[in-house]
Amino acid sequence: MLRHIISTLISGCINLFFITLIVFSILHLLPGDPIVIMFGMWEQNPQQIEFLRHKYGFDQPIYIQYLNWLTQILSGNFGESIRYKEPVLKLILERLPATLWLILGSMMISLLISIPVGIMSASKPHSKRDYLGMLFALFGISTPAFWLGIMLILVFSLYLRILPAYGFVNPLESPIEGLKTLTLPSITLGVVLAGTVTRTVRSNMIEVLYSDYIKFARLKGMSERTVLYKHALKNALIPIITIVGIQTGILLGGAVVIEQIFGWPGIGRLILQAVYTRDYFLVQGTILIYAILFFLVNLTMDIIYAFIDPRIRYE
Amino acid sequence: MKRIILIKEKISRILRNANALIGLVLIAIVFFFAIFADWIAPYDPVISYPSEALQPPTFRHFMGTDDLGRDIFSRVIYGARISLWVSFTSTISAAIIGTILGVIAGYFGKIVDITVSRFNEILFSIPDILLALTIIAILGPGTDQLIVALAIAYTPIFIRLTRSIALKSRELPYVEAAKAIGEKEINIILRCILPNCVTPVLVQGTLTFAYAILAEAAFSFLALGTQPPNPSWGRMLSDARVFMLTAPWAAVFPGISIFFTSLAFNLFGDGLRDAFDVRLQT
Repeated sequence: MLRHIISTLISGCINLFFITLIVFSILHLLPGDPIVIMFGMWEQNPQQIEFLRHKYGFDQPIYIQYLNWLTQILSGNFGESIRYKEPVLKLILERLPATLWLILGSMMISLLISIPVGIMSASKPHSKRDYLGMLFALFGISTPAFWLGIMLILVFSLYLRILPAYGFVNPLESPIEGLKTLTLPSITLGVVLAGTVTRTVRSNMIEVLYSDYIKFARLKGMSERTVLYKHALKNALIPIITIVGIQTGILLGGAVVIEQIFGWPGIGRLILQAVYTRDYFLVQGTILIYAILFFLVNLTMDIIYAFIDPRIRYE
Repeated sequence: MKRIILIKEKISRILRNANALIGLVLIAIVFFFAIFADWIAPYDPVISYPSEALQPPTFRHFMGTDDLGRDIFSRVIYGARISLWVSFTSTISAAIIGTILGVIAGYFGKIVDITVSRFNEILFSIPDILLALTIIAILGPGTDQLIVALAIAYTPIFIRLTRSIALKSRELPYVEAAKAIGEKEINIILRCILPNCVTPVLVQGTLTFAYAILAEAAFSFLALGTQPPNPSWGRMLSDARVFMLTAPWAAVFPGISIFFTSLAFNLFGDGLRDAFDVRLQT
């Protein structure tokens, strides 16, 4: 098992190293002088631009620039945002809780919907309830999340006025207000996500239900209920851990759009603002943090998986 | 002759699948509107008529008008063009590039495979929306830039799919026979390996197309895709947010269009997958 975890860790670190290369090269792939592009709207003076080029080390050979940048990153210095005039890492850390809450909330909603619906579908494949479940999944997959968000705002915030459409309150500081602000964004992202997850739960469950030990349990004369909930579910839920890992990627991407709609002060919105204002130091930092976050979640899921799945545990 | 019978058999299998059939009909409708937009659209999608602003759905404007008095039905129809164009070009490019790289990696193996697979894994470790956003950050907003961004973001899935097919096909007896009689590598790839990829790539392509419809809309919504005044569904939605309470139709109809188009491709893709019994990794 240890070997499995170590090999995942090493492979992940290699990927992260290449991601730093990609993120670093963002600035150098820009069509034109990065300093002019970034500071063009603030600084017009050529002397000033020359000074900035020297200040940020753009006059050095590219590999030196990369090594300097990487050393800075490793020591926790992600540079300074041009627009906010604050350290990038500080800006990101300030916004991290909002994004994590949104991801947690939508994941809860998506699992709460997809596990029961998936089991319902799988318990009787090709029946009416299966088609109903799969229709829901299809609708979830085809719905544009941002449109669903807007429609929810229209109904629950503008017409019924029961839930806020804008802003974020940390549930740890004010539980009721926090949950209120969390509700609509989480439902938006969670329902859309539930489409994909429902399908995966269904196919895992069907695979388990047709396995030998379930057939054996049925032959022993166990009731369908015991078979379904006591034997099948336990094994069908293991892959859910992997799903959670994969879904985090989709959620992190989806958060960019949803945070924008709900005025959610998270990292997704920070990335967008960085792109809009050509604040490329901030773009680099946020994308790198996103990739690291995604890597950490997947690593955690891998480790949990290794602990739970006996096939890996006894390897 | 044999090939024609095979294609006929494939088509009849698609038509017998209800999902695929419904999807195909919906896709045909969307394409019909997009192609014949110039004849179908009752009004110009770009010119504004301030006196007609924010009209609710009526016989004259059966999806209503927006804040500049533009007919929403006409804009939705022209929006289909942009949506389909971006999704089509980005999906096709991703499928072609992905298939070439995947087949080469899977067939030749060794260092080629290690390089391509590692590269692919790196791309996979960035969520695809974020990857596309990174590329947009470099290239700037716009329709063409979005096509490039989505094409790159969707390439990894095709590489993974075709690589695994090529890996399996390489071991097949007829491939080994072809190798034994000294057939050129390029011919083996084109005649023995590539045909095995066609159906899975077609299925994956249709499903990716559905994602691309949503992604195009999302990026236009964020003002990073198609630029005004050109009509795009995502942009229409984001503009409509301002006057959502007084004119909800301006937000409802573009959203429904995105939903149905994406649904159409998902249905068709699912139908194809079931009809041909293709197993895709998710």
